Amino acid sequence: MSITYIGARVGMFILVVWLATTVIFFLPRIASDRNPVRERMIMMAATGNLSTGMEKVVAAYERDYGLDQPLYLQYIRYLSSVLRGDLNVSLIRHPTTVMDLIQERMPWTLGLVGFSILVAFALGSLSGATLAWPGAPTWLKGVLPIFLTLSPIPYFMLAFFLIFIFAVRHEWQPEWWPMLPIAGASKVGTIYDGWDLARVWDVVRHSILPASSIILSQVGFWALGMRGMMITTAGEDYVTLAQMRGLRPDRIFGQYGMRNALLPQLTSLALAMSLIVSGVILVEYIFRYPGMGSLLFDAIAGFDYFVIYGVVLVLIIFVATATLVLDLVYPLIDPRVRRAA
Amino acid sequence: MAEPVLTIRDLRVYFNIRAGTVRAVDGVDLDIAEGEKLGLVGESGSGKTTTALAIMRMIKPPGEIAGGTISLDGRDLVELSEPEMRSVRGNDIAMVPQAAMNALNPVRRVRDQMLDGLRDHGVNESRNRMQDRLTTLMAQVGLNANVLDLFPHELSGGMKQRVTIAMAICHNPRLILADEPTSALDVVVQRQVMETLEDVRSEIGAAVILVGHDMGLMAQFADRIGVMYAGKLVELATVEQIFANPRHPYTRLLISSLPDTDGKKRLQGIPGLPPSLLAVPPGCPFMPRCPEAMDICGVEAPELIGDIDIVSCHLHTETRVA
Ligand SMILES: Nc1ncnc2c1ncn2[C@@H]1O[C@H](COP(=O)(O)OP(=O)(O)OP(=O)(O)O)[C@@H](O)[C@H]1O
Ligand SMILES: [Mg+2]
Repeated sequence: MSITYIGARVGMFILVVWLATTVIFFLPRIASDRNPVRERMIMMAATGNLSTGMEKVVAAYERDYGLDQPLYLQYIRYLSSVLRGDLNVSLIRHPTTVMDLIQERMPWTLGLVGFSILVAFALGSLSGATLAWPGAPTWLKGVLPIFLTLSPIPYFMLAFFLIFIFAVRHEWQPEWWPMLPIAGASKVGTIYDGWDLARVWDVVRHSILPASSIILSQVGFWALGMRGMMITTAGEDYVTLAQMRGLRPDRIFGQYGMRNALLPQLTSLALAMSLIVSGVILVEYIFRYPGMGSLLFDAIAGFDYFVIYGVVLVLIIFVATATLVLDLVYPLIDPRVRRAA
Repeated sequence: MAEPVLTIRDLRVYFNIRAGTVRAVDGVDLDIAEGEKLGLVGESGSGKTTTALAIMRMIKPPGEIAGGTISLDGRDLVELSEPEMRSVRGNDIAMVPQAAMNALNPVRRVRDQMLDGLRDHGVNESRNRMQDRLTTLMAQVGLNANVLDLFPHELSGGMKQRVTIAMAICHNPRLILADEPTSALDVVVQRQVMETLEDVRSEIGAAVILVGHDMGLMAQFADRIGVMYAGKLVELATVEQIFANPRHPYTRLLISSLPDTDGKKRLQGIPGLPPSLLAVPPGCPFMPRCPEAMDICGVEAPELIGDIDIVSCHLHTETRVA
């Protein structure tokens, strides 16, 4: 892997992030002239929390954040503060900084999304590969159509479905079945210090339904892709020769079959990343999961555009990083692209 | 003739497809002596590859070994369980594949792919011993040891085929099956690879079945030649016998279709098409194309005649009867 290859990929990464930041900066501001500061003041005035002249306060805010300046100047000002690692403050939850909000929410999203994607990908790829191979267990053949049926259903529909079955209709489950929480990431009102077993279980319990809605709707997709790739791979000459050399069946399946069939799957994973992330935002909202998705949703509702900018920026960096990592790792797992790289 | 390594009796391989049953191999008898070189020739679709695959028990659905026995040193391979058969593959019988271009796993180094074979057949030696083994194998097939560290896409076609030969001889098999091992290579490399194959084969004393179309190549390489037509072995004789005195009309046509030594006469082929293997008519399958067909040929299938030189043709049934 040459320096130019790495340089080109990293350059691409920066370009993508910058372009997306720019688009997301102007889009909401051009599309709507809502003024979140004024809206907040009106709210405060309505509840009697604002004593001095509202216009003066609004003007002071706008001056502080440069909101009274032309949009392109605001853009330059925003960009330069982002480069310094400052994402400004929330206009609604003033004076909390956007960075603080993101730091608080990010671990939840990373945990939930990272875990769900990995499980769905691993489960789907493995079962798809097994199904394409001679001697696949019959029960697996029966299960796949179920997942295939689930996969075109959007996450959020599946989420409602799960809530209905496991929460609304709790009487359908056996006695010993625990009531699965349908909102939040841990039990309301419990203060934990440090991570003990009880807290881990609490978090896991809360993640079961949101994670399931992501996993259930994705397994079929990965299984289908992998099955197709694996059928092709199973007919390759190198698999036939491996069989004729009397290699162990599990080695042929893993190192000769899956290892090759997995390569296009990984590309799909990187490509699907942005779709997955956007789908997850809705799931978080439905389950009131305190992650980036809910944060973004609330920010859009309140037109808190510094928070919108911050969250979208982080999501874009997340997706672009996934692609970058894949670009950099791919030559290591496929020797054939190594020379081109 | 020495004690046979491999004895095939009445081997039948059928493919059950929607249109019916394709009798790809239909009652083949064959003995291969220790260290013998047998060439298997015949037109495309005559069942050569299917025969080789059946010996490896590598016939995949919709195909099946519908009958017969394949004995390796007295053990009937048809009866073995799949795990038992796995230890025979690569160990007692090895395959040199036709399409070497794609016969190696693209994401594994040659070294690892060679080691896979050793490990999976229970060779458990120190790193250094294994290393020495691989280096020796590479030298045997005329490759530099540094090829071990390359990936398949970094090798030429000839080098890949040499690697597959190294894999084939790695466990000193009793029998090597080589299905058109050089058909994907250019003529010069073809020769070199064939010579390498013959060198290592004679070193380990393995018997070999060489499948191919090229009678010229067979003449140089084989001790005996078997001629297949429509899933049947129609003639089997020593190379000298086959070229000096071919007895089956099909064999004669095959030989006369060879280019002359000066290379002027081009390969001319044999007029007509082989019969469909779906519905084999009664009588001799070659009859419709046979220049010497007689009345009986359309009625009765000819028996196999002879012990060492074998032929299946009414021309010879009659001479014997007469
Ligand atoms: N998977 C399959 N399904 C159906 N028929 C098959 C299958 N594989 C082989 N056959 C049939 O078996 C017959 C023998 O094929 P085979 O590959 O053994 O011929 P061959 O002598 O090796 O020919 P070639 O010289 O072209 O390699 C052919 O008529 C072919 O149509
Ligand atoms: Mg063939």
